[in-house]
Amino acid sequence: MGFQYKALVIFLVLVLAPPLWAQTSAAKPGAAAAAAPAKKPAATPGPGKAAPGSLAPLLTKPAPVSSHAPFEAGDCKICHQNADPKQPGPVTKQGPAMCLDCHEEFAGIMKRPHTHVPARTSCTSCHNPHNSNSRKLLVQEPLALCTGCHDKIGKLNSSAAVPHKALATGAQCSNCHNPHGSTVEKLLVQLPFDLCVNCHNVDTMADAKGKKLQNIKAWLDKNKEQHGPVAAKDCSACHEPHGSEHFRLLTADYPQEFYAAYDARNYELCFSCHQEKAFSTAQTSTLTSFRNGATNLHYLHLQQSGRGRTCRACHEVHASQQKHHIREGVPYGSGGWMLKLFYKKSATGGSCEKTCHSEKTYVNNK
Amino acid sequence: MFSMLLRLCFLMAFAAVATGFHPASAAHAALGTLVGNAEMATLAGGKDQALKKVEANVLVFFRPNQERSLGALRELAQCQSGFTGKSVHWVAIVSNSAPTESIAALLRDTGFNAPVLLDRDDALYGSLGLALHPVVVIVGSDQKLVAFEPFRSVDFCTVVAARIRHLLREISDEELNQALTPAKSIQGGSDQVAKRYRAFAEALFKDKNYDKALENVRKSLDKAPLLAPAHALLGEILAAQGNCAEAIPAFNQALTLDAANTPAKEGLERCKPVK
Repeated sequence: MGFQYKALVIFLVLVLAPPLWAQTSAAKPGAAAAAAPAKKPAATPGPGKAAPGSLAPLLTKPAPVSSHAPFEAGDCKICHQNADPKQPGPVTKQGPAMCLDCHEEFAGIMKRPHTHVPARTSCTSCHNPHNSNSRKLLVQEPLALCTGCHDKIGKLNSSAAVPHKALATGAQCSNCHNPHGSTVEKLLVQLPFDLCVNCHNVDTMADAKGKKLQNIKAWLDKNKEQHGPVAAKDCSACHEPHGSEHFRLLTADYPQEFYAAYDARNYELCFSCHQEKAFSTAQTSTLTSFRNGATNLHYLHLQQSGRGRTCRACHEVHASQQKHHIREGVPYGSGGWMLKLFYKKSATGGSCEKTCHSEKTYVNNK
Repeated sequence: MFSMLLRLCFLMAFAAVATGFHPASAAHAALGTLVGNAEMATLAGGKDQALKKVEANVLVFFRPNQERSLGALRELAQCQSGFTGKSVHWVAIVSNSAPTESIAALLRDTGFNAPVLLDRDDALYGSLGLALHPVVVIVGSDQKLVAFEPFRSVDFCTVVAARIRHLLREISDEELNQALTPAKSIQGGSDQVAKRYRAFAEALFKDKNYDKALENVRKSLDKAPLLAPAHALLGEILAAQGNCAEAIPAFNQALTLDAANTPAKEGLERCKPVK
């Protein structure tokens, strides 16, 4: 079928057969009167656009990005009662049943533990069954389409001081989510960690300010003592993948500095799991294992006026070679020096030496 | 006499944990460690023990005024319903220093249904080497630690339920692994496009649009040459066009790939020369 002929057919369909619009559009959720012709036809779409909510074919140049094979081939009768493009009549089945006749794989996808309501009820909530200016017959680009309903995510993304490039590149939301159905909650294609390392596995990635981002995969491959959320593949325990007010897409405050006066609010992220009192109680025999007898050594390190050590002074947040996520060394100066911490663990405590202070040993049970 | 012996056993077990296990040695107690069953005050008044004589003791350590505890208890409230009537004992454990009103309010808000024990000076929490909230600690009927599951933002209930069901021997090791590391939820497999062309061809075939049906079933076979139903459909289309000579090899190919393919068997019958 030549392009001009197709364009003419489409034009005639749109102008002469408004009931077709009504019937295809009526497949939207909640449209009980799907089979009944609409009293008022939708407005004529603008160039390259369908009217809002309309499932009408796109009319004009440039050529649509995606086109449905039966429509492209002029086989209206695959979905409609009549083969005549001028009078295709109503669709022969309502809802996803029509689509699943050919898209057989969706029967399996819809059996997954987590499915998307629009995918269960109306494919045309997101897809134009004729053609589209987005890939996969989507009625809009994925980010705009998804945030049309998921408005909180939309606001988070559009207003974030620290945006996540994943939402603006490639398949956008579908980089991480399967919009039909998934074995993982939140329609994630995989657990968060498995998704994140699909991209965060190179040495060349940088943030918006040009600061180099860690090659997480390489780091974890060589550091097997993983922080709980990392071990649970739950990056989103600490990072907000849709955009954040905090550096590195963190979900809450976390000090960037090595030294900082103690203020619990700076550690909001850590204290969203760990107990603040484990760091603000001077004497304890239960709240931490980093203690010399009952002297809380976390308290001692953090609660120093002006030069309190922040978590990063001693701990690696993702993974380390040593227990308790103790880091191998600390950066010194701007030349990239790393001074070794010389932490040693013992059966009842541990010791640190030579870097920040002379050797000091702690024993839990004195 | 028996109850005295039982108490003595519990006391010995607790003493073993309290004196023999020092949390410095690990981020949390090692799996398999015996858990002491100390008596604790309850939120409702009175006293109770954390562990009962059941297949699975599920100890939920939480703290009030913490968003993650709120989220965890809400999810666990949903999770609990799957274990009604089973040998599972749920118990919520909170520091005795937490404000009582906040604890009660949290439980009310979340719908989590379990007795609440007040852990005096975080003794049990400390003895297990815990360092965060919320965390689910699962203990078997032998009072040994089976699993720690800190709250996770994705699949928390799925993972906790799988851990309990595994302990109850309702699911296998493999099924537990599937819950812990779910398979990638790809769209539909490598041959999905081929299947679509086949289905499209079938619709055209039913509509007696044989030429287009042939075109599309061939597209399907180009993409997935081992798709038995597509070979069978190719045979059906060719046979409908009166071309049994080419239809027979197509039916045979379908049966080579899938000996139970009914349309191919029936197609071959129809193409048999009339005696």
